[in-house]
Amino acid sequence: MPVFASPPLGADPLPGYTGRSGRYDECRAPDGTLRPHWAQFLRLLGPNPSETLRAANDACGRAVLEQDVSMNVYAGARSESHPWPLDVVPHLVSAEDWAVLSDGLRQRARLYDTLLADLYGPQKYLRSGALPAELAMANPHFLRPCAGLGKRSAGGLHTYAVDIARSPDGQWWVLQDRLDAPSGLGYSLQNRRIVRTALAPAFHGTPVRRLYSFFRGFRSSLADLGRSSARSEEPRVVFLTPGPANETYFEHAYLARYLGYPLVEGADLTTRDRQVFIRTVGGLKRVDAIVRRVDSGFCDPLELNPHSVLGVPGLVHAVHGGRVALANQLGGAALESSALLAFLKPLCREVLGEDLRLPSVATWWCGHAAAREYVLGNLRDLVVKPAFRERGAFATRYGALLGDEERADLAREIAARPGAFCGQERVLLGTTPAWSDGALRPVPFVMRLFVAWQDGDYRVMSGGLTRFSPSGADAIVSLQKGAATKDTWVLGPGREEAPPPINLHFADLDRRPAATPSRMADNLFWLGRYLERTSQLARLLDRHDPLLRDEIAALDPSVATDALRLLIAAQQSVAPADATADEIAAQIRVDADDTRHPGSLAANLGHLIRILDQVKVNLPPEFWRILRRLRGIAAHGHPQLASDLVEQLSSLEALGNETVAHDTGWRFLELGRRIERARQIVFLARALLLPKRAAGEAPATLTEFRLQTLLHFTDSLFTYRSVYHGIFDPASIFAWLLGAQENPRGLLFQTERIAEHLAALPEELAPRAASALRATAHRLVSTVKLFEVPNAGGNLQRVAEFFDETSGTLTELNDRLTQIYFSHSELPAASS
Amino acid sequence: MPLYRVTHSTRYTHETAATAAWQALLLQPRHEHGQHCDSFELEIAPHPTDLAGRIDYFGNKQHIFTLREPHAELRITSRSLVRREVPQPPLAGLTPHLADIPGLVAAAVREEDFSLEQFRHATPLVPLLPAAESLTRGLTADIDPTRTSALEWLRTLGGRFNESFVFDPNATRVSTPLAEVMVTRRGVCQDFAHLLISCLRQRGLPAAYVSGYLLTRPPDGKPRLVGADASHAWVSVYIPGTGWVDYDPTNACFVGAGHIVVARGRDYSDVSPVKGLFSGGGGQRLHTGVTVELADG
Repeated sequence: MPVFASPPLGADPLPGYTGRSGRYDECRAPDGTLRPHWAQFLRLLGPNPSETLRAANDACGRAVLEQDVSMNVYAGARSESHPWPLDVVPHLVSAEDWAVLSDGLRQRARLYDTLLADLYGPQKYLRSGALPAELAMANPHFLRPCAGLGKRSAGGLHTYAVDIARSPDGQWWVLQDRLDAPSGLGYSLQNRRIVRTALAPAFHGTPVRRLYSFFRGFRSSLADLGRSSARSEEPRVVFLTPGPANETYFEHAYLARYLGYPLVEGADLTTRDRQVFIRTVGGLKRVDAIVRRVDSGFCDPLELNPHSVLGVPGLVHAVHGGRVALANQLGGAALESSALLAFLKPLCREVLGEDLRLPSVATWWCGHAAAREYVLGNLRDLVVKPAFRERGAFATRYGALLGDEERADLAREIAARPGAFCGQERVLLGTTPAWSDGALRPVPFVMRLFVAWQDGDYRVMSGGLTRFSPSGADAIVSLQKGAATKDTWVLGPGREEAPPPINLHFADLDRRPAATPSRMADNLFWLGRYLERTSQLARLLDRHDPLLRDEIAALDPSVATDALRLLIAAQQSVAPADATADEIAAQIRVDADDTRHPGSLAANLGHLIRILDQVKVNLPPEFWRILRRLRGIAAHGHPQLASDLVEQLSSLEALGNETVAHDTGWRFLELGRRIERARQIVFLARALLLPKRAAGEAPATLTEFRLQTLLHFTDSLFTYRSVYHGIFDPASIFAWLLGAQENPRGLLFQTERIAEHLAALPEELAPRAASALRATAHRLVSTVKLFEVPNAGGNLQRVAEFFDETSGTLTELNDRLTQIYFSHSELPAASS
Repeated sequence: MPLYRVTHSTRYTHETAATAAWQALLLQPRHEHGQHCDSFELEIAPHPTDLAGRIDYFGNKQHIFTLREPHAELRITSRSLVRREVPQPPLAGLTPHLADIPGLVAAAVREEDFSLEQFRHATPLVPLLPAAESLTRGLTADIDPTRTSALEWLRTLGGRFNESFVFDPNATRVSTPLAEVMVTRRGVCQDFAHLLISCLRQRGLPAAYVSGYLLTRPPDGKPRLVGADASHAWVSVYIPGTGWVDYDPTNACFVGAGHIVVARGRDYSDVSPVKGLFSGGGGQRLHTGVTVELADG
């Protein structure tokens, strides 16, 4: 029996679906019949398409959450992470439409590539007047320091994107072109992966063209680009992102990982001798090509926007020197002006000697008198936009939505600064089916399609990112304003076979061991420290239950008091000297949930989450699931009450050992954990064995019970019992806690791991300092090993000195490690 | 042609050492009509290993270098020998009437030089302030644009403009917005140049910013000009049919032999003589000194 029974022939599978009047609908033709590719797709959904889509939509939503697909929405000065809005119903593009689109897009890419090379080169189209002078000369995105970069061969415009829409007559119209740092490739890929799974039978039953080979070509073209500047067979390519606050950071991380490039921020790179380097814990490594997602103007504070903190000083100069290549070449934003669309048709004739095959939305630039007259005379029907994309430029205004007075104001503004404005035809966007409230409904859409330079020509990705407005309003197809997305299925013929997983397929994979960027190592180190600290605190507070307290108090009230004061101190708080046990216990609880209190459980959990957000792109998906759960716990506001906090943190610790490569990055994570744990052991031992006493008060005595409580707090009680068969002898307890190699929660174990990891770190950055650091760690191991256990009731002065020395050495290790490996400032090139 | 010797020294000091520096310099006097740079030396301490030159979009010679060693002090000294002839003041009567300027400029952009266009608009440090346009209107209310040549108009405007402002080295900093200078009416050569540019561009005249030097001690019998002990700045105006004419609003004069041109751009942001970044380094201070003397006098 077939899995999908076809509905009876002739029955309309979408009885309630009708297009919107005056618009082109992708699914239903004006005569009421379904267009053939949609009819076929709907048949594949089975006898009950609604049920299939409902289930698939749920699966799709779950996948978005599980894979933590997100985008940042700018809210005032901050940006907030939102789940990625994805509709499970793909947008289908027929083979006939695709032939028109891909042909037109390749032509447009060639046109813009030539214009870009000319603008930053000989400027002959400015000289000829084909490109009006004002569009370049008054354009804030024309970057004069980049003049001269256009002399390179074709393909400086490496990746090009368009937003394209369908008008009521079925024509495709380009709404805008993106040449500087187009986004959306990563999201397109992610959408495909999710929807392909959620709608597996329909996907496999449809001749959908695949995305793999585009990305394979993408990668090899970047290797070529790197080779051209490196003149070496093993170019190093990096992916430059503005960082986690950027709206599309998720896709930067996703694409970098998919393509196998290190994801770097401006601070990870530096320049010297007109070359670009990545700062790693193993020293500076030369970078040959950069996939650039930082807007051109922000790429170099020396020669471009001096206030940018996202760039690399000296980058422009290095690019001029030809020893590093950028994809895309700098400066493309100058050709993203809406006003340019008014001149594209004649430019295409002049530049390529061809007619423009894929038209742009009708545009009138007010810098020319006749066009200005037209715009002023037709304000009611037009959309008025700034000629140049500019921060702080006025918003797009829809003539139809303005009152008479506002329209008059606008006309005055245009007359005063005509060159700053252009008018555009209002496009009645075509519609495509989207799943909404349990049914398919037509929604206005815009497709973002991508073209990339590969093997000496432009190639179009057979897919794309379709955005639509769930509310049905044309104006809102911006993701920042609530639009949603769809996967885009380009239909055959010429279905590509599924190649092996991408990384296995690349002959040009970088086979050198990855060098850990310094900033990444820094983050991993602090991840280790916060993970350990939060986990330790969560366990301590977990033990802080009244029953246990009563039990301890019954046996030895002074131990109970010290234990309570320990819990206060563990959160860096203080309790009044005359506070009762109940008052102290209450304060511990209040402290724990207080995010503003720096040492609290809540504050540490906050730090842990923040740092996980920074490094998550380098961690496997299992981490992301726990991260989501931790976010939930933190959002709830009472972390100490979360029954699974300790478990989630333990899983994180285990994942840190089992699911990541034990490479240099992992060693920094481990160093953070071990240093923190060693500090905690010393802190706990000091608090219970050498508690502060008022003057004249007798010091604590090392009773067996006190030592046993210490074992309990340091998580060594269970292991101690199993090793020593429950015989509680102070000397053995001390030995187990401090000097036993077998106790993973003992001090010696931590210091040995620290020494071991330090010995395995690269030392090129500062050979002498690194060897001094290792010597310090070995000295610490010896000190701990040689520590003589005092007798019960013996002299605790020596114990205090030992603790002081140990914590001093741990602080020293921490500081010197930071200085050698994480210091972002330049290190001396040569020391005497 | 008189020969001038120019020494321009820049010194950055840091209370705590900077660990690296990236610097871009525009210090080499231009080769251009009427001016010839015979020699140019750049002395940088500590010594950079990667000093390299580039010609910028405006035809100025730029030098870029980086430093990779900790340093508490960075000294940049340039020494130039410049030959410069006394420019012929253009004949005002041969320049078009002010009223005809916009049309003639548009034609020049179209037919002669599209790059004139970049000197007609607002630029990073020169907004087209309505107050500057009102000022122009006020200062030249008695002039009939249909009967007055552009150059005569400029001379009158420049003289009156100069009288409306007070030279005051303590009134502004490099970052003071132009609108503020417009209100306080106090500033230095950079401010006056920017303001006059804002006035001229709003009248349709392409106007550029020129950075340069002035002879420190004037020839006997000539007054010492304002701005002679530091980098100087003035304005260059494009007059159709005549070409670029340099005018110094700080001294209310067309430029003479003692005005040595270093760089031309749209405003100060295009031509700042020394700009750059440091990594690390605290308590940074900047000292500059300029000397210009006649070498063969």
